[in-house]
Amino acid sequence: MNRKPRTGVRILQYAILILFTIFAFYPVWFAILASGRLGDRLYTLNLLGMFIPTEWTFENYRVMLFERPFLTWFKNSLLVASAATVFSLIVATSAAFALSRFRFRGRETFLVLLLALSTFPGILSLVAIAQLLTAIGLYGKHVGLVLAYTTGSLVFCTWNLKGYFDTIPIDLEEAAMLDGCGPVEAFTLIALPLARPALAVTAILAFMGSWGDFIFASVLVPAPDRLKLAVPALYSLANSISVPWGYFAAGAVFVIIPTLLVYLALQRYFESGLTLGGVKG
Amino acid sequence: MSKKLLTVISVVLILTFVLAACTPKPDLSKEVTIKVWHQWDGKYLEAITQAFNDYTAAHPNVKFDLSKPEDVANALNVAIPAGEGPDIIGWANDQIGQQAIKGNIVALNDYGITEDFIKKTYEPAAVNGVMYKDKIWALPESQEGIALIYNKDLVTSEYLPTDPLNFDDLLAKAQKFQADKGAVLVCNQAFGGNDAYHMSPIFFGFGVPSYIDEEGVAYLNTPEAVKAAEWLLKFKDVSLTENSYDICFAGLKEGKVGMWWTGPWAVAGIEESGINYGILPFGRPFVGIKTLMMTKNAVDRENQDIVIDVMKYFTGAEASKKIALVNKTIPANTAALKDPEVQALTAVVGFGAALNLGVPMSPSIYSSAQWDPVGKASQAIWQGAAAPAEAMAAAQKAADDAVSQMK
Amino acid sequence: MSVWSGKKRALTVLLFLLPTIIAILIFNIYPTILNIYISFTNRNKFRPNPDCEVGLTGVLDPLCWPAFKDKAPVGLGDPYRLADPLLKNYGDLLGTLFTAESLISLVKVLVCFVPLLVANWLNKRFSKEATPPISSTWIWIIAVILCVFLGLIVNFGNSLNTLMETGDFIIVVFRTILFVLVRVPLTFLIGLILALVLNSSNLPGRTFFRVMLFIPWGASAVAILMSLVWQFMFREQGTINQLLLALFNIKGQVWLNKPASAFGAIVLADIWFSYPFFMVSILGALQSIPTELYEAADVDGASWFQQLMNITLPLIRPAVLPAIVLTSITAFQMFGTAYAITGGGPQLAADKPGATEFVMVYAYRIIYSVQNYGRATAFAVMIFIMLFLATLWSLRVTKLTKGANA
Repeated sequence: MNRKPRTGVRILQYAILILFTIFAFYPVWFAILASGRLGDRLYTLNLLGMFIPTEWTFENYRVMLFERPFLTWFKNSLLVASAATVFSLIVATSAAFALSRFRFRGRETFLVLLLALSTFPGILSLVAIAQLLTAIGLYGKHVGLVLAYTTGSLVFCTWNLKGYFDTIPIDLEEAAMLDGCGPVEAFTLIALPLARPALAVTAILAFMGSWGDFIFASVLVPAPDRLKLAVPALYSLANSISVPWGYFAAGAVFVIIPTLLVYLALQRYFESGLTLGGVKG
Repeated sequence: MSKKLLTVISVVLILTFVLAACTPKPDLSKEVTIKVWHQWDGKYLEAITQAFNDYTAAHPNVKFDLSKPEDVANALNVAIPAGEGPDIIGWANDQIGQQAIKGNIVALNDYGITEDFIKKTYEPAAVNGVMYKDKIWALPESQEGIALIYNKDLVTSEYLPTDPLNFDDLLAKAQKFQADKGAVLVCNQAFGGNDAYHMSPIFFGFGVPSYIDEEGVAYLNTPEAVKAAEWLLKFKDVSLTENSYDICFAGLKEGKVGMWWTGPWAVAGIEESGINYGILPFGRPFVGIKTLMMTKNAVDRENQDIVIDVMKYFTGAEASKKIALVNKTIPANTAALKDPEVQALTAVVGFGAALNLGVPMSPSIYSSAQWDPVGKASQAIWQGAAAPAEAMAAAQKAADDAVSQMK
Repeated sequence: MSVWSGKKRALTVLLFLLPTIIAILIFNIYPTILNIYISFTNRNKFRPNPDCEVGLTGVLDPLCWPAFKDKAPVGLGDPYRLADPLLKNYGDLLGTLFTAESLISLVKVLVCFVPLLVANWLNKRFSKEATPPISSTWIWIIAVILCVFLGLIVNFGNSLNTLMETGDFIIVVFRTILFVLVRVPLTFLIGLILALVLNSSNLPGRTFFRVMLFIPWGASAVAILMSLVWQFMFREQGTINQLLLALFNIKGQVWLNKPASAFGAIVLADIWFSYPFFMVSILGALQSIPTELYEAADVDGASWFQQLMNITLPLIRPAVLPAIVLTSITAFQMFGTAYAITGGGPQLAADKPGATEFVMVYAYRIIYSVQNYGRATAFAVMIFIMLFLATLWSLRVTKLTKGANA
């Protein structure tokens, strides 16, 4: 639309934008404010204090970082999420490549099976997975959690990457293979580099899925403190008898802000990714 | 002496030493880390960790690894078969039945703890609390029950009920308090919440013998229970709409709340805030016994001797007394409880009186079925979703349903 | 690819797919089979250990495998066996659903929605013709009136109540469907409005707003923590009540204590998490609409609303419809928001699920609080069947629209 809208419409548009921006930003701002307040409550009885930092102290951050094992939890989350993402990508990319490039019997069925299995909600199969990991001896250890996360994000990653591979023309690879390349080389030397943007986005999404997960982590790695992950540890902090809300807010801010920044940095990719390869949900 | 006699004596002496060395004596000298899973919170944990540290100081080969899992029951279910579970669990006695059923904890009778020993060492209520199906499953460390902790400056004697079982009196005093001072008399985290434990003084105070007894009979829609539920609804008018541990504590500190219905665990925080507090027993609260249990994993790892020694130490007179003096809890160990220093603590006197009125928590498996129905019913009543009689009938139905699944 | 053939190709395919197949076999297929099996047993908190002689337990339950058997705890409780009757868990969940009275109520409730389906079908038929005999708006209006009329005839409210008395399954599923029906259209609407505004030309500060409005999506990765923050907005002394007191001098109620307002609170929080997704997809789709269409419509004198209905909406449909369907399926499985804010909601009665106990929250409670694994797995199986069918149907819808565009 090239024409410049009337002033009345303009005002309405800005009103909507400002209203929703407040709606979008306030909860995060609230958490930031609360992290700078000392005390037992996440809110304060001072109404103004809910909107601007009337008092600010770094005490909560200091306690969380140096007296509570928050850094350990944070490090654990990073490790587990990174490992899960790497494994997930390796497995999903090869599967996606095969599903996209080869035409073989049962391809459609396999795809539908993948999708069907992913609809079995993770929460419900958790007990079985916990028992399974116990049998293998991986219960309560990060390795078990990594395995669970890998398989959890497998279907999503495979579908995503397959959709992207579908949009890359086969010609380059066929040419390479006429020249004598095997399928594995075609995969690693041609298809992978071309799929870099999709790989990046899929990797970030898989990472975020494992980073923010609560249920699997709280069931599969319940104790001790030095092994717990950030999100379940913070949640159980918020659920103890006398909740140190200031500490919780400080920890939450530490977990949420990086997530936000990463997503914001990848905004472009989301838009193009969405209209490009497939539908994400 | 003749050479022959010397030889015989030497051989006998050597044999004696060898035999002495071979008798199975608890080998307390191997290097070991004892894993402890517990539910101790906040300030409590400091004194308890100190007790464990003292043990390590006395026995340098034993180290402790304390951790507080989010959901102990489920964590145990998966960890113990894997051999990854703790050696000791610090938990309330109502869990004993369930854990014994699953085989996660072991009966201590097989490891040298006799009934005589526990009867001599611990309070009778505590002894009853750790025996299930005629076996001893844990060693008790403290007893607790809730009572009204009140602000002496705010709640003067005209507002204090005198008869701990007269609920109408409490209601009247609460109305008077609100009219005179504009503040709420009683704050209880179970009001509006799903907390059958903090509701217990009310229900049992009205005459309900137990939520669910040893045979699995539920007493939730008896006339007494319905009367208690109706009183609860009436009491809502003189209470805060939203109650929680933090809200009650903050209210007490800020003078918005006169009395807080809570247990010994809150005393440390209250003392720190400088309130001039008194303790008033009211109703018949649940008497919970905090215990230490030994798991099957400890036996598998052959740590049982050390674990028994640790448990005896922790629940022994000396350690119990030290912890009680700091945490203001009520020890289950008779010697520690009768110690004059412990008896001098206001908390011990006050809560001790509450315990005498109270109803002990039973370790049977049926007691695990009582929390949900009562908690949900009281929440529904408070929020006005159901009438008292209706809600209690639904609770009875749910409790019967749960019990039938166990049989 | 035609270059390779036969055995070598089959092997290559296998090589690429092998890790995925193994992962799925171990972590997806096996747990599903175990779950299905347990739904036919009476396993719960008091019968936790398997009796390895019974049925398939010896094969499926990890505690029965040789490597494990001697480490398994043997408690005082009975081991679990096959349920008696076999479908007991399913029966408990469904309650009295399959009695004549309840089935009739179900039919009555469904019958009220038939006019809408008929209207949809009629519209599809008429859209193929150049000049439909009745305009589509009229068809929808008549359909809605018929719905209300039918509802009054069959006494919709009564039938609904009878249905709700049958058993836990219907209550929880119905509540979750209601949640989806409220949340998804609202989210779509908000996303549409924001996308339209952001797409208008010559908007100073557009990037700033785009970035700010995108924030909730980032926060949704750690939905549980943000939901705990949201919970504070609704507390008795939380932000909303304090604002109401300060600005309008109204003493706000305790939002989380009443079923309707607790439901609304969760809908609000969930909308916060999910509107950026719609906003971004619609924005992307909007940007692919050629501006000439709008210019031509301007020349013809079409109003803003007419342009919206006749150009914008139909053209973004192919991109947006799959998103709506997928979001609905995801919204059905929402857990974190509800669990953190209300934990299952204000309790209505001791023997019924709470007011905001949606499908996943109910499942979580049955598994981890009540620990009735038999019932939980039966519930899981039924939900799985529902979701599976819904996913298959969504695939059809997606393929349909893809075909139209291609």
